[in-house]
Amino acid sequence: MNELSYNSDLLKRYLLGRLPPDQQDSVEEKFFTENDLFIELLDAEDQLICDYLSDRLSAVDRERFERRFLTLPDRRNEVELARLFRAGNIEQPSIEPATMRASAPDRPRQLFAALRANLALTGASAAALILIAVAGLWLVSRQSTELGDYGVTAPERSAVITLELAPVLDRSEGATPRVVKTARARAIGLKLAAGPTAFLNYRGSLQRLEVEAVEVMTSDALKWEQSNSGDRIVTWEISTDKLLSGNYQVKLEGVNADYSIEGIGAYHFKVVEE
Amino acid sequence: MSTPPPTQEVFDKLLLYLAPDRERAGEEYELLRLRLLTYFRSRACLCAEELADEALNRLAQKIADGEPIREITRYCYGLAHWVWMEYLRDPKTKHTSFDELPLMTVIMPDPLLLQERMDCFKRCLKRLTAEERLMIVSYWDHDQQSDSTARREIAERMGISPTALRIRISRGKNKLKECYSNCMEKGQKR
Repeated sequence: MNELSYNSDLLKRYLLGRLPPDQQDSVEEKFFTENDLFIELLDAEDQLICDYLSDRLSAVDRERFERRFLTLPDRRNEVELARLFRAGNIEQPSIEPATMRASAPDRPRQLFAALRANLALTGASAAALILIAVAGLWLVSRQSTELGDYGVTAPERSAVITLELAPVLDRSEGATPRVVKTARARAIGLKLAAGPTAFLNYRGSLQRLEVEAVEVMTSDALKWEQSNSGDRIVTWEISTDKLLSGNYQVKLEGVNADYSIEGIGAYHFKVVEE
Repeated sequence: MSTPPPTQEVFDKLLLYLAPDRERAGEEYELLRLRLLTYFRSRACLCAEELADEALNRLAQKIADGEPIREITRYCYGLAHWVWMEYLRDPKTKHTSFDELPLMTVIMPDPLLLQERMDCFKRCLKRLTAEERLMIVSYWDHDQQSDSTARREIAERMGISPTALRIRISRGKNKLKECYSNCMEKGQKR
């Protein structure tokens, strides 16, 4: 048995929980310290899922697989997706290598945002979201009054509803902040927690989330203010005329002094009509 | 047991420790996180993500505090073990091993639900970038050959290393999983 197949068999037994404790510890220490072995482990996991779906596992292994892979939500989803792929007759897309991007744009920054967003261990819910919605109304002095064709004064809309948001990681967990659009509301004032990094400028893209994300509007020069802790809060006032009922997402980016752009985070909220 | 998430400065120090090149450091970080997830999932841990992040937060803090660490991956393995032991000792923890969990049998959904799942899946597949779609579809479509052979061939075609390919496949799958969960959740609320 060559080294590769020895590894595959050993890794399969590890994944199915068939190794004695000392051998399990040894495999785990090795996959932490050896990149190649860990990649093989990930491959072995995929192969195991494939074997399960193709009914190639023994009855004992099948039972072990179902205990270990169908009880944890993330692994269960993985099996589900692999199953759907096989059932769906998905065609291989053809694409020239030259058209592919070399790498995801500034992935380390996305990883940092993800780590900061996870506050499950600080006492928040296991959904690990910080979502703070504060609805407040205050009156803003009217700038102008419009007369309709029949000399009727349009109803005054002067209120701005404030909504404070933090970047979210997993939209499926936890409650999405919602804002109720009243007849008197002229705009919704978003306050986006943007972290401590001082960017030269902030850009935002507002998208309505339905089956596909549809861009509603963008802004290339959002204002910001400093919080007491020194972090930046980016503000964006959006006319209620632009906001129908539904789910929305703001994608916030920071512009550096050298004009390079970095993603800061995605902020979700829901608009509901009064 | 909760270490605050790192500041940007502390996180950047961690990345620098992993590799001088930022992009390479990001890859090493993702591999480290995947290792931690694998470790905790192998222990029937439902909060594998939270424990993995706790371990990484502690690692970042140790580096920021100037603790000399010779082999970071081995150190991380030790941290994982420590975090796991603390989790088990916590009186609030109600941990159940795999062997104590009830066997989950697969119940075939009715045709309508099956169609809804397929629609969600195909819709989400389309929402991936072309590169992600190619990677995932090519990778899933190699039943006839070993994973490492398939990985090498796809990596060569894309002009990246097999390790980088593996990380991107994981990212693509996570995007797909999240999209699919959201889509199914929306469907259940109708």
